Amino acid sequence: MTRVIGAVMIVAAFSLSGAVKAGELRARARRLSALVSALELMRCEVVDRLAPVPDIIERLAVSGPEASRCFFRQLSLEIAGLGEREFSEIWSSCVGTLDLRHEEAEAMRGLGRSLGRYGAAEQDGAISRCMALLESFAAQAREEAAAGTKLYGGLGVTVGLLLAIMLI
Amino acid sequence: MRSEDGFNRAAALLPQEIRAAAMALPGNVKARAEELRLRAGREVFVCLADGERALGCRKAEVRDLECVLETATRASAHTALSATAAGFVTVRGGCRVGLCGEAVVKGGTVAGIRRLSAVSLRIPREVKGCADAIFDRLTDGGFRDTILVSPPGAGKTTLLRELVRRISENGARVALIDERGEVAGVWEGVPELDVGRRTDVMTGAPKGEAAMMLIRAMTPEILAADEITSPEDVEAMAAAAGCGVRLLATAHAESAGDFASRPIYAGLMALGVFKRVVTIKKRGAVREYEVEEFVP
Repeated sequence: MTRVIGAVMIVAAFSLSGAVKAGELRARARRLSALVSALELMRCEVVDRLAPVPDIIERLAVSGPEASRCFFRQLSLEIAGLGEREFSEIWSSCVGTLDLRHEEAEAMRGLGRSLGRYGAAEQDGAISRCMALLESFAAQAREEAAAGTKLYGGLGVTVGLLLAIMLI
Repeated sequence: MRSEDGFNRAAALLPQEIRAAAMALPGNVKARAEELRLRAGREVFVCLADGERALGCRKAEVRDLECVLETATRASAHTALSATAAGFVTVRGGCRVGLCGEAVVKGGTVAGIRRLSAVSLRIPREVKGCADAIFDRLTDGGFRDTILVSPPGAGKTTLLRELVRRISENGARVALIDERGEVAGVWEGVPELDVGRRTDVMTGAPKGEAAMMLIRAMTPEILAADEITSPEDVEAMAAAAGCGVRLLATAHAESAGDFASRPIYAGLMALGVFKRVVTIKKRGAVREYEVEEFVP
């Protein structure tokens, strides 16, 4: 009986770790998609309404896509230091708090070097470029998540079962 | 506002290294400074009444000009560059950031500025008492419609602010059209520069609309406006003159004769809108005021 319980626990543990890994992949895809949506809102506010960047950030921190709110909340706090630090530095340090891969973080940092510093047309270009990059990373992440869900889910169960069989 | 406050606020917009050099200036220089000027690839200057003086720090770079604009606009340069073709943005405390660079022309008119080549930070200054020499003459027997004239940078806005303050403190209800936010430096509804206890300030709106709104809503005895420069401004003054308020305004002109002879002001002269002119003459650091009556 103890062996059966142990085997079930092993299978459950490995299945869970597989699910966690697959969940991480899905979360990354969600985070990137949320950032793309937030940047699209930002682009509209900058280009169509000529809204000030701090106001946009504050709005996104409260009512932006949920997975991006934490980033904008941090940004809305740190933007108080504008003047002592350039906006690109503030933006970059907040990007550092996001769980992004190197090339994704670099795309965001590149945007920070243009955001708020030039005319609406230039910012439109910079935001659109960053969105295109993040969208491609998001698409890739979604594919990885879809594949990973099956892979890690299946792998977890299989490894768990194998171990359980060996132990029994 | 203390005499150095305006300087400190303007200096706060500078990049750190240049700001440090500006803040290291002696107190008497800070108190007299009228502008800070950054030109790409050249030294940074502080402008005093008797000329420009190098700050003695490194040369300004394009990046520094962008940094000034970024700080002045709270990281929202697009609100200044795209929304206005006027070439300046006014920041907290009435500090005006003048922009120079490549103009973007759309439909035959300047739509904005890009690729900055120079930036000037005009330091707002309250000079309480600067109108003492002319105040009694302007108010004896009741205030009459008055225009203040001088070339740019001679102190029209400073004199206007002080006259508004004095008139307001004397008991008259004044409405001030502060289109560019330089006269009163309103921040979150409160004027940061003293324009008197009985002064109502309308910021941001074009003079024509603001004048009528103020006359209808705030029933002023005196309507004040800075820089009558466009045909729309002239129309606004002419329209307001017929509404029973006294006018106090400023305009670019060398003298009363120069003002009267300019085609743009011909309508105002023909209608006899302004009864008096105060000409500001700048001799070094000293301003002299000459009051004349317009003869109908």
